[in-house]
Amino acid sequence: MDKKTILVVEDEHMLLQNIVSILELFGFNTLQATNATDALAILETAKPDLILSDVMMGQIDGFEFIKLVKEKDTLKDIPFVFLTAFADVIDKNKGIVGGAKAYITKPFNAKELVRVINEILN
Amino acid sequence: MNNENFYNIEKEKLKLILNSFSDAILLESKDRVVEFVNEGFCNLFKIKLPPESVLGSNCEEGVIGASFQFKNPSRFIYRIEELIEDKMSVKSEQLSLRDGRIFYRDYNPIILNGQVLGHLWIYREDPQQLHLALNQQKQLEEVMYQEIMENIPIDIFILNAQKQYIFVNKHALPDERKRRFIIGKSDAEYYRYYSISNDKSDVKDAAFDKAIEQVEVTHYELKENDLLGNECYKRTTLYPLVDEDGKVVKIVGYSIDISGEKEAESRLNEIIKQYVHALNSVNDVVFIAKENLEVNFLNDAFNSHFLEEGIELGNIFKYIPFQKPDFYKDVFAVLSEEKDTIGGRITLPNKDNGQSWYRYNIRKGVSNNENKHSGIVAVLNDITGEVVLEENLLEVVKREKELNELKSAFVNMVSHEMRTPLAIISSCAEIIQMMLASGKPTSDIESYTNHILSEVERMTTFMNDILMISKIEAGKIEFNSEEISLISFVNELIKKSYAPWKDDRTLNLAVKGKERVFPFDVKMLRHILQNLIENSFKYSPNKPAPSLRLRYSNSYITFSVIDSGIGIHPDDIEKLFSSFARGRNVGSISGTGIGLVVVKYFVDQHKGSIRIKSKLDAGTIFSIKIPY
Repeated sequence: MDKKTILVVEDEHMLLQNIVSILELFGFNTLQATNATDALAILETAKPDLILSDVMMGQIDGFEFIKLVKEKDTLKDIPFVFLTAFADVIDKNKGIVGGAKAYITKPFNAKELVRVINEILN
Repeated sequence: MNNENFYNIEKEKLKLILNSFSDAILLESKDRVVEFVNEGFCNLFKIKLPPESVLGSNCEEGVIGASFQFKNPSRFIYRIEELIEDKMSVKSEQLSLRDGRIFYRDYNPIILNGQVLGHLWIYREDPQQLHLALNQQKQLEEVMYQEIMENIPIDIFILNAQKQYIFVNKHALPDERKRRFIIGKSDAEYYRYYSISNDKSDVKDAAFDKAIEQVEVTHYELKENDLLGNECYKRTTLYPLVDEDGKVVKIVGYSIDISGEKEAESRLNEIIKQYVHALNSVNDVVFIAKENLEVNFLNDAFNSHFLEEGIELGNIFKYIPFQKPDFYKDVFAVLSEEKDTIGGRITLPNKDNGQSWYRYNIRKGVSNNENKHSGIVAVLNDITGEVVLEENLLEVVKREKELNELKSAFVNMVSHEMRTPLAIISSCAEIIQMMLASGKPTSDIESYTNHILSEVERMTTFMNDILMISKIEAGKIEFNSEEISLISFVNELIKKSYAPWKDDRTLNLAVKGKERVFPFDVKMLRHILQNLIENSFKYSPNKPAPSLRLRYSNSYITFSVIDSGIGIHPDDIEKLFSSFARGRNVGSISGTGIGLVVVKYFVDQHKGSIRIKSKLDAGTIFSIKIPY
């Protein structure tokens, strides 16, 4: 089975590294970006199987980022998962309405994160 | 010429002569037809026709008609027939009439040469008897009228043109002696004689003069004493009586008691006064306006609300500016009878040059006449206090809502700020677990544990900052001033933490000016310096070490912390002193976004100021100026 590629967007360097390590330990390939602009640049050339993104980051936040992704025909089918420190219900709804498949709150459980990702990919 | 012809000629002459007599004369023909009557006859027998109309009528019928005026009618008729029959002349035969008059009658048959040609009747009233009867009647009438005038329960008096009494009835002046005295006297003379003070003489005199001079019915009203000595109101009417030249010869006056009327009027006035007093006692402004909006009542509250001085009544626009469309819309709704009562709110300029809030109520005025429009009654109730309270309450509610939102945002932010380090800690721990479970080399484990410790430190700092803000907001931070040497204090601080810092760089210190000792809060100052110095190291990785400069001027000291770090975007500088705000370019450099909030508060406690000069990727200078 081919390794699935996941684009991880997270502005906290340390956390980005940890997520990447966890996903790789679970057999995923990863692409990394610390902000939405960099992530969109990556998406110009690569087509990941899933996007895992933070919400509060840099100038373009997660909600704006998903909107931009869903606007592009080539990208709109890529499953989108939010990973955020916001635990508010309103934010969750906003995420789901924006087209996200799931909304995972920080701090997360590594196995739970991988379970959700696998469920979406399968 | 026969007898008859001669008589006919002579008869005309006779008529001419008879006409000049004042006695009543009737000339009958031999056939008893009226040939002549004079005016005296018609008057005496009360024939309401001119003498000519009676000519030619039947005398026998006339006798019957006239007989009813006499006491004995049949005797009257019989005697006439007897005299004609006997052809006897009679002189001064007495006849009694029903009305008491006495007539004297002469009868002369006109006989010429033994032939009866006619009958001449002469009647006259007894002159003495006539005078007597007239006098008697006049006296009777006088007595009757006097009796009426005396006994009628109304004051009656008569004055002559010189304003002297010629008659006063009993009711007007019961004391007979006084009544006799007053005749021929003026009002003033009467009062003077009886030493009665007469403060109403002017009113009476003016009315008498008016009646006499202007020849018109005049009235006056006076408070007097009635027959029992009780106070009463009388309305007197004066009727001038004039002579043929139109000159007033007498004045008939009569007075009627109008005490009841006056009492009702005074009771009504009293009630009105009480209502006005009540309306003037209330703090609400009350307008009463006619249907044309002319105000005819304005209570005292108006002055106390709007004016220092009294204002003359006028149109309602004078008091409430026309630029109050809602108020006037309601006024016209009531005037047009669309509504009976209506209310609202209005702001009006008060006498203190401010604005006051009023709650108004407009209702239809009161009218006795159903067909007549009654205008409006408007009541203005000052609710400025109420409105201010309401506004304050709204402000409090708004502030409370904002505070709640802030609190909620704060909790959200705190939660967010805690979740990120927690996610790092938990993911590090999970990775270590996975590494240990997979039996892979554990060389990286140390790096992950270091991350955990670093995040715990970050969270601790964050918690301390939050606690500090909480203390500041609760007013639990007290300003404790101490006078110590600032240079020694700074040197100690540098020696302890910044020589060198974690990354082996050492803070540079430069001091300018002559040292001055001044009071400051050591704890606060330590926090300020630590925060700024930590930031300068944190945001200038791999750059030359930051510097701290102290400069003593004449009236203040300046601390400047200078670094050659990443700099701050110009749009972010102002936001830096708000909770959780961080520069957009901080990248992976950890921070809570609340350190500078505390710094600002502590600088404010020293009455100081903060200035930031920064350039992206070049560095930042934080300058704090504190007066001595």
